[in-house]
Amino acid sequence: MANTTITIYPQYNNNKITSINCGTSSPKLGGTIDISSYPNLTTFICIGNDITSLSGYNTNSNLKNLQFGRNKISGQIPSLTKLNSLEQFECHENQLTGSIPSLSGLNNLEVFYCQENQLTGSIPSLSGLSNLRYFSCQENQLTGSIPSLSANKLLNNFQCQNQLGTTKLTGSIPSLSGLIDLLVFFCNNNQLTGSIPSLSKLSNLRRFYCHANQLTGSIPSLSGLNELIDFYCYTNQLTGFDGGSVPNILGNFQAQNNQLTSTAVDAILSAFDATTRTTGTRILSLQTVNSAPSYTGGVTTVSAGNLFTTLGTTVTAACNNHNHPNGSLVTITGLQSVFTGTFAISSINANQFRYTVTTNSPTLVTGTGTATMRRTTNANDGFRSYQNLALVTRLGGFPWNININFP
Amino acid sequence: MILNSIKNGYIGNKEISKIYLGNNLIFPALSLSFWQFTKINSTITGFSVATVPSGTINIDWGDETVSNINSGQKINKTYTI
Repeated sequence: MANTTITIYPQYNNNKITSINCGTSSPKLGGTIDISSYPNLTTFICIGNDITSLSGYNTNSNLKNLQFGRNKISGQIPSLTKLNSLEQFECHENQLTGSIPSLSGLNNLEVFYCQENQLTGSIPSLSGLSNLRYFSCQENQLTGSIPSLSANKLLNNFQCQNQLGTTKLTGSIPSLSGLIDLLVFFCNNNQLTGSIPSLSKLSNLRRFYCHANQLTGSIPSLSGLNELIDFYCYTNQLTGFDGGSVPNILGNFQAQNNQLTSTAVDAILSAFDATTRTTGTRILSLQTVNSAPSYTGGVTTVSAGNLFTTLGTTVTAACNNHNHPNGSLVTITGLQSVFTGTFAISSINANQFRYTVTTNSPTLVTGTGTATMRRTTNANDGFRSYQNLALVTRLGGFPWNININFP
Repeated sequence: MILNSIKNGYIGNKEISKIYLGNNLIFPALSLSFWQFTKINSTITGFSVATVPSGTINIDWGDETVSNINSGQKINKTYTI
């Protein structure tokens, strides 16, 4: 172990040091940093080293940009109330404890990243932060509710998901009305209750994750969300669907492990049928309330609609049966007498099995193919699903219906 | 070196805020960090400092080497001792 001290000074007396970027180190350098000697600093960046302490910044009213993520800094985040020029604060992926300090009065704040620490307490009020664009506090040990976001009209990205922690956020998802710049909203793996708020007019929304909560009510209308590519609401207690169309661009819609009625599922499938998606892969995962959560036999109808509306579309077959149908056949049947085939399972292990697609309808399918069905595992989700990663390729241009049954 | 240890120096009743030796600011000492590394040839990549107005900056790496860089210029450092 060797130690050294870095000292910085301008060669000309009247120059003021305004920015320091420590760069990255290899192997990572540890040690401590004190920036109190640089009162004119507006930017300090030290990302991805092994610094154990950063001090001397909490009284610098000139500081605009402070980034020290991915280090080994422990202790509490000091009061930030004197940093009234602060625009960007990033302390993610350290070992910080204590609560998130008050952000009141930080009227210029645009970015606040504190994810992946050991922070406790609640998310502070974000009211008054009219310039806030990015707020991320996921994977901490936070409790309490998500604060009102109604004042954060410029918000692009809000993330408070908590897949790893044992403590969870409670309360309801706040209104997202008026957040027209919102691109990403992640609140999954908490203990949120109430309903999913209206997403109407969020025309820039690209990803919405609220899965693994305790949400009730209906899946909101996705009409007009023309940028939406991912919508995850699985593992809640949702029962209905508010109707309307689904975006053509929507590639992942996962709503399994809810209490959706067959009427709701039919409406969702109908909405997907009506899309005109022409390229890419689509994963659609659904269950009706009639799908026994401890499925051991019989037939689980995964889908009953025209899922293969476009070339290359795939479908996720959700199934709560942890012991997949060993060695049995998975039958695929075309309801319009245009397709009949079987999936013969060829190999099985704990997490995946392979099957071969055969068909007597070569005009629709490329012929014999191979696909992998993988059991996704996420202990925090409390469910398992078999995800069909590559099903069949459709060559025909007209609609057809398909059922996938697990006998 | 003695001056670097001053915390509250006075000339009469005026508190000393800065002391220069030639063009070099020697008080207060502008130490930034206390680095610890475990291997010779540890490297820092992309270190940079900016000033207003822009000018040149001396970086004393603490290993008896000093780099002189321009404001905003990125520099790499390898500790060889």
